[in-house]
Amino acid sequence: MLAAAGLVAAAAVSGCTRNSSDGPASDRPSADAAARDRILEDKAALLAVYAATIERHPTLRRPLDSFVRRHAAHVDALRHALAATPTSSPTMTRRPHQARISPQRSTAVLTLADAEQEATDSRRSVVESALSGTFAALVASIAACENAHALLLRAEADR
Amino acid sequence: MKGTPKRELAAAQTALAAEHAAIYGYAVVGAHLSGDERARAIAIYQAHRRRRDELARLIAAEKAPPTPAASAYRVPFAIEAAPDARKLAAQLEDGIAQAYAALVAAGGKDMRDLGASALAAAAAAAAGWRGTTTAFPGLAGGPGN
Repeated sequence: MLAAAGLVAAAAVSGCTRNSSDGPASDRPSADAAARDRILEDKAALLAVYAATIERHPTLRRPLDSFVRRHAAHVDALRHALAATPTSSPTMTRRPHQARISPQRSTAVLTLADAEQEATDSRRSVVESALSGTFAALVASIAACENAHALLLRAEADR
Repeated sequence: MKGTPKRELAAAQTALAAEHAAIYGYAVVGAHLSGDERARAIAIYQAHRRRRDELARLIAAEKAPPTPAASAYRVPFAIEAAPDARKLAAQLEDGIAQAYAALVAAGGKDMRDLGASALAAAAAAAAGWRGTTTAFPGLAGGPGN
C-alpha cells in the first residue's frame, strides 16, 4: 500500500508540472507567485551573464549551449507553474557589460559556476516556504539542475 | 514529521526504499571502478547510507516501521566494466532523485528540506557520472526531460 501511495505522489509531481491548470486559483496563493517572479528575475540575470560570457568567449558557445537551453526550459516551466501569470518581464534585464567578464576563459566559466551555486542555494527558502507542494518540487528540481550545472561548469573550467 | 499526512510518510518510505537500492547498487558500482572514480563512488555510497539512516530515524519517530532493504536487487544490465558501472550509478541517482522530488511535493518543512538537499545531491552525482544533466532532475515527466 505504501508503494502504491508513493507512486501516486510521484505521478502528482510529474503530472502537475506538465499542466498549467494545477488546481483552482485559490490554491495558488500570491506568495508562491511572488517567489516565482523573483526566481524569474534571477533567471533573467543568470541568462544575461551567460550571454555576455559567450559574447566575450565565442568558443564557449557550444559547451554552454545546453546550459542556456535548460535555463530557458526552467523559465518556461516557471511561467506556467501557477495560475497567476508572471508580472516581471525577463527581457527587461540589462546584460552585464562584456568588459566585466574575465578575459580568462576558465575564470569566466568559474564565475558562471559561482552564479549557479548562488542560484541553487537561494532556492532553499522558496522550497521551504512554498504553499504548494507541487511548486516546491518544481523549484527543488530546478535547484538540483543548477547544482549539477555548478559541478559541470567547474569540470569545464578545468578543461 | 510533526502533524504530517500519510502521504508524506508514504513518500518517505519510497525514498527509503530507493536509498536501500542505491546502497546495494553502489557496492556493485564501486567494485568496477578504480582510482578517483572509486573514491567518488565510496563517498556517495556513504552519503546514501547517512540519508538512509536519517530517513529511517524520521519514519521511526512517527511510530511507523521503516521499510527494510530487500534481500536482493536485480541489476538492470550486466556490469562488466567501468562504463557499465557509471551508467548504473547514474540510473540509481535518477531513481533517488524521483523519490526525493515526490517527498518534497508531499512533505512538510523538515521533509522538504531533506528532500531538496538529497535531490540536489542526486542531480550533481548523476551529472558527475554522465557528464551532463537533465533540466528537471526527479521530475521524469517534467518539461524538457
